[in-house]
Amino acid sequence: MCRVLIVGPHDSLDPTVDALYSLEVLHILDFLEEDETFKMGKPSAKSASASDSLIKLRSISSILELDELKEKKEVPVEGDVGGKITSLELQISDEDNARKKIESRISAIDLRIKSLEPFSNFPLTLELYSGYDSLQVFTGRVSKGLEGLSGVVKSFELFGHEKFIALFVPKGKASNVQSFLSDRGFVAVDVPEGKGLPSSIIKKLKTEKKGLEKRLEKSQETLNTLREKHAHFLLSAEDFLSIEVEKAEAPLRCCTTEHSFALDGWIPTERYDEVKAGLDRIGTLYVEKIEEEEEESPVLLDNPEPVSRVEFLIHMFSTPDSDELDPTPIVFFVFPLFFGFMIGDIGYGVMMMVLALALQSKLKGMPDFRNLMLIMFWGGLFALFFGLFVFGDAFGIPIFEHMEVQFGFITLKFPLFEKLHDVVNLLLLSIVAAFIHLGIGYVFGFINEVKHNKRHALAKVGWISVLIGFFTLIIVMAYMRDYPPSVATFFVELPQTVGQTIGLNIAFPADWGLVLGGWTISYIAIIFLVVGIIFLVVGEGPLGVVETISLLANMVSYARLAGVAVAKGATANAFNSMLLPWFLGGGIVGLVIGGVFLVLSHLVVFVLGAISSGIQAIRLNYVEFFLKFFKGNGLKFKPFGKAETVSKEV
Amino acid sequence: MALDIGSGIVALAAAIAMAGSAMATAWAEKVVGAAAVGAMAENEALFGKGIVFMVLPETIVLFGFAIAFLLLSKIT
Repeated sequence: MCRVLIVGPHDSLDPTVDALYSLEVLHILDFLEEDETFKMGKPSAKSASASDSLIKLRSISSILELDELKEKKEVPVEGDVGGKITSLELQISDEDNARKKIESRISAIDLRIKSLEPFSNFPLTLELYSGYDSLQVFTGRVSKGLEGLSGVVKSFELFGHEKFIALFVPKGKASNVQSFLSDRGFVAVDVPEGKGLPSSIIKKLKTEKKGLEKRLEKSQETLNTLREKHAHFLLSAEDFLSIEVEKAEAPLRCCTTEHSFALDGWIPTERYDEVKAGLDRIGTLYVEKIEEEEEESPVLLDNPEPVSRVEFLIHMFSTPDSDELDPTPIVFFVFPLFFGFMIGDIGYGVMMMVLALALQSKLKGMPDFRNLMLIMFWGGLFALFFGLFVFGDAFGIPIFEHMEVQFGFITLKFPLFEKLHDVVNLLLLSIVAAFIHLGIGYVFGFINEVKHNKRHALAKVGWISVLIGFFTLIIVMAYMRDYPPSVATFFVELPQTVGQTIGLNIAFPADWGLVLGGWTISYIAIIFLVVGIIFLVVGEGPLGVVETISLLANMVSYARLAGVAVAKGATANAFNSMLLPWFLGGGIVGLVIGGVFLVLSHLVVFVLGAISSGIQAIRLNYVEFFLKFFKGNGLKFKPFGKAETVSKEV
Repeated sequence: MALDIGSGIVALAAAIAMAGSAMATAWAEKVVGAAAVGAMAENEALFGKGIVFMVLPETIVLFGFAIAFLLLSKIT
């Protein structure tokens, strides 16, 4: 990154903004400290009309429901865009208003019909329910029958007898009747306003409603025609206007005096010449690099394809600071590796790859999601690899039992590990993964710190030593048991094997240690631990000693790799042993029903496995790995504008 | 396979280690998770920190898992 200052007269501001916009390279630093001479710029004149048109256009788009449009076609936007949009807006908003009026009339009619309906069964006009001197009228719903009413009042007239009633009684008896009715769950319903027989009013309203619905349909049709005719223009115009508005508002971010302007910002150093050449074409500009500490610069992660596609995972956690190492390449490799290890199955691996490929071509508009699919594809590939060469599983079914393959002078037994029986080995493999992954983390931490604080860098060396100590401790403890797991044997005998190939006689003294309750505590591990702790105390103070336990916790945390792998294998295995006998031995019926259940159960294992493996794999990177070196809080590089090659495939 | 009573008790111990640590993790994550989602609703940039705190208690269940396996290795 280098910081540049661009100064020029007012009338070159527009061409400068245009040029910068299409280069998409300058991270503008907003000008904030106004005083008497230096003012914030004013948005250019076309800004107001452009943003006005944009607002109109967005309201039209929402009326026409353009965001539901599936395909998008670029059409050239030329001429008087604002005028076109205004006339379209008039047409469409008139039609929309008419439609809204009809809709509200229809809902009013529905309401009126609903209120009239209960009265439509009685042969009375609406006027007859009111206007009496000596009569009280009760209309409403009752929940019980009205037997015994004649005991309360002698002369009365009752319409309806269950549920909905209209009751006419002398005013003098009104309060008695009222209490009689409320005992029977009476709820009063007001008589609707108006005149005439309810049933005939309803009939009229229904005819009116039919007519309105036809008009509504017509109006919707008109809108649909308008939509079809103008949709592509409107979408293209929206893009065009958004760009115009963004350009027109750029002066708000720069510093201006009476006759000139100044833009301040960061650009990637390797593109400086390109920018300078582009701006020199305008002529009257003064462009200069400012010498500045890079520490404050925004951060653009710069990784080659396809590694760059994983950058979003880093940004999701935090953008690295400008002088920190970018962990993207490590995550790019480690995430799918862990993911694949946890799934470790040929069948699920292939499913994952196919699914990722299929979804990737469907999701053109969502770059982050497509990047996720790419990682899923890698993860599937690793799962396939682990399934083939390590676990020998396809949908939980072992594909080769105790096969021996000769590679030169090494004999490999396949599968290397059986998921359900070699749990100790899998746990040790997790510890190996922890050792390597955390080791890289501390090396990164050392490189980051050595520039700032030598003592903190020293502490990182201490951590590495403690890590080696713990690793040696665990491996030797496992190796010195009666039946040493093969992973421990491999690592303890590694120096010897390497020594033999280069003609040296070296061996790791695994038995040199303190024997405690059947476990051997290697002296070598203790030496590494003690040396590491001394470095820690020098580098981070005495509290560092306590922190060493947290490193052990971090290492154990990688046991989730083995845990998820075993749990997934066990679930798949359980489904297989329940359903496979049915599927294979149950005739046609067993074949069909067993087959369906088998597919469903494996889908469940697949989906749950993919989710949990994904979360665990990213967590190991975010928590265990990143916290060893990553501080983050960097400013993400956000260049102004959009390069002309917008449609470049991501 | 026939197990003697001692092995049975070891197996039970493994089950208790697993279940207890799993419940502890669940309870801790419930508390942290709710707070993390609340914080994210205020400021989406807190996702990274939120997820770190959210998954910290998972280590508890892994301790249980490791102990359970060490115990089970005593049986066979």
